[in-house]
Amino acid sequence: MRKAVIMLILLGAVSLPSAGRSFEELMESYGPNKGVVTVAMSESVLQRMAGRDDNDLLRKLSKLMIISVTAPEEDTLRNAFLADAELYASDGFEELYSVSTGGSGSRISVYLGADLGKALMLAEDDVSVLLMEMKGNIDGQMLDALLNNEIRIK
Amino acid sequence: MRRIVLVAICAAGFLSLSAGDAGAQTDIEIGKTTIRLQSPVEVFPQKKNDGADSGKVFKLRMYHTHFLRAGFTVPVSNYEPTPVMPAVFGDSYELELGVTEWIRPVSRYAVGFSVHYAHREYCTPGEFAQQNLGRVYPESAYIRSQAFLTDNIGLGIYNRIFLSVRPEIFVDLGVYGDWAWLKQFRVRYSYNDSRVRDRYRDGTVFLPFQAGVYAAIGYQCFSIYCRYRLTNMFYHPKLPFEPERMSVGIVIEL
Repeated sequence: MRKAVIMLILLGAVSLPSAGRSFEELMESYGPNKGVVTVAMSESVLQRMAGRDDNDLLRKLSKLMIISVTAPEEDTLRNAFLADAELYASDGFEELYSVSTGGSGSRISVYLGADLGKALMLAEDDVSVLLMEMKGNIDGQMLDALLNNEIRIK
Repeated sequence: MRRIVLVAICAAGFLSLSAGDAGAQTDIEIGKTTIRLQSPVEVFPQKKNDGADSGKVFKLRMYHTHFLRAGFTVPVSNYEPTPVMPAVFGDSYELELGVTEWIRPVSRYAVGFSVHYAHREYCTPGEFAQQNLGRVYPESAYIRSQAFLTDNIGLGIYNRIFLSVRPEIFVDLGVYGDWAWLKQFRVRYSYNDSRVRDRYRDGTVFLPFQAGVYAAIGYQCFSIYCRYRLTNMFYHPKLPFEPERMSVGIVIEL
């Protein structure tokens, strides 16, 4: 019984750093590493870009955050980030769609926040893993944009 | 179901793009805006320089347009031994109605294949029919008009070079070929207070197949065109004249 409790405590201690972590914490955690690019754009910047480009999709966003890890598939940092990203996506998001190809190891998953206040895009291929979170008014137009490839990673 | 198929296509498109970009910088497109992940981050509109510098690949487009061409015969210098059939220039005209299928592999170029119906009319003054075609009319007859006219179906191939994409300003260069199912010399005259129409058709004199070159310069759906016929309309050993070869007019293309 004691062993089981200790194991549970240890398991909780191991999983605690990733469970419940916010996107900002993921950025702080992985941002300093080599090969990682993080981007965070505030509402004022997004609205300014939306006005400049007459972009209705950007107008709906209040925050945009991106973490990109460029590393080969066997890299430990990449694998840790991918595991954390999947964990993050599983908490409070509903998977909209996911497509993968076997040959190149490419995969893209799009998730939708339960309250329609945010959307998440997780993309991986043989050289990088990218996680993007969009906060704002994820309405029908945004959903169409996610489905029609108007929001995409190249 | 339609949406699911769309998703699959879109996602497959993404995967094909990302798989081929190994080692390349990552771009994120949100509508018209592209965010390039580099240091510092670059954010630019997708349509910068008509999309030429934004990394956006122009996809091959196929579309068709309907056109109406209306033009008048214009005089050009004659370098041939065969004389030109005298023409009444304001009354000599052509009308064309057709459809063109365009294939546009790049934003600045398209090739088009057209099918058209054409009516061409070459009015001539004087007594051309009596003097050259052997037509005989009463002495007191008053010749009101005489014209050689053809009704054709034809094909064309055109190269369209876009000088500007938005708005579309373009130059067309092409060739066309016509087959005339109706070729006749029509003379209208008045005689004893009655109006008479004489139609002269002779397949050994009037030739059915015609071909020529075509050029146009256009803005959006309007163009000004110039056409030059390279083939002969008359069989010269029997009728040693040739109608004017050049015509100029306007095109409306929708």
